[in-house]
Amino acid sequence: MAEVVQVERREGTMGTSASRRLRKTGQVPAVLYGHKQGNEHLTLTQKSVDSIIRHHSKIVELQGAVNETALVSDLQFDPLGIDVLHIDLQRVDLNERVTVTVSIQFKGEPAGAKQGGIVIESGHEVEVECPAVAIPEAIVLQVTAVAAGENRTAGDLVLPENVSLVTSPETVVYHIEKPKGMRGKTAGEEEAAE
Amino acid sequence: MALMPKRVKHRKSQRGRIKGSATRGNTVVFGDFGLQSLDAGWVKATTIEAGRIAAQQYVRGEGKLYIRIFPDKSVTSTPLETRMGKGKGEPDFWAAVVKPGTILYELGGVTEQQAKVCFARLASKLPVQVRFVKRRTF
Repeated sequence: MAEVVQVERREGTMGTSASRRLRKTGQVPAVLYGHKQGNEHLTLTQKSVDSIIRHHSKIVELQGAVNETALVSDLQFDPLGIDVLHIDLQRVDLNERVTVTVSIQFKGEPAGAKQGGIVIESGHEVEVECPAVAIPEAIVLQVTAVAAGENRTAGDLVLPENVSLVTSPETVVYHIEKPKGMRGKTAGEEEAAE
Repeated sequence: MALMPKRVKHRKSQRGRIKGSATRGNTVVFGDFGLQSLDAGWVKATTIEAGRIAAQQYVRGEGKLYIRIFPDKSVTSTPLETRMGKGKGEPDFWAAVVKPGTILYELGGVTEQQAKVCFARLASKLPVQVRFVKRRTF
């Protein structure tokens, strides 16, 4: 279910100074666009922005100055990555398909790690296309069977129904590096050593 | 051996001023956890190496450590008991210019608790104030 967020319309001057003054009062500037309609300059409270981040809400229900459903398409952070400076909201119809970035969750203890391999999570998120109403929070990848020297690609991800992959399926997302002693050995040599 | 450039166009550089915060290299990209600088300063190549050793001795081949800064600035110094003048000194060491927000090191393949302990050991060697950060998941 989409998170409900109260918004106000920004009046008067826009720009850097006005935005800074706004942030000092505990508000965060935002823009709403999409669906070939005009842009709306809005403000959200810092508290509601924190809530969006905490709950990983991709879809929000705007109430107040505008009553629409929107996709949180971009968040701008300060250089230290603590405060949110600006939010981009994209108008969305719950029945339409959207392209979003979804994080990957690696589940299980890999066999390769037990052999002494170094786990390298090279891809933390993938781009997928899915209905706006059913954006997956994360995609789970079981890594229990991954041995040292093996990898898993984006194509190996088990996607929920109605979700298709946009990222190239050959992109390596998980890899277990062989321990130093095993490097350069072929599978036959490893078996012989055992 | 400590990091240093393979080849440079000019052996000596002006000292410069460090203004503003980092707008690039300020997010955790490769690993799961990072060490972020809160101050501006120069981090010597030997310090980066000392930090690497401290971290890798702790993780012991379990996790993967990424060094996100590179010492590409040569710093010159005048030898002791030398009279003033006679031109700029000779290059003494290499340093990385760090702005507030720069991610110095990243660690992947370890638990959060392990990463915190590891970076605490590493942070004590650094000339800047740092904080522990996690990869942004939104």
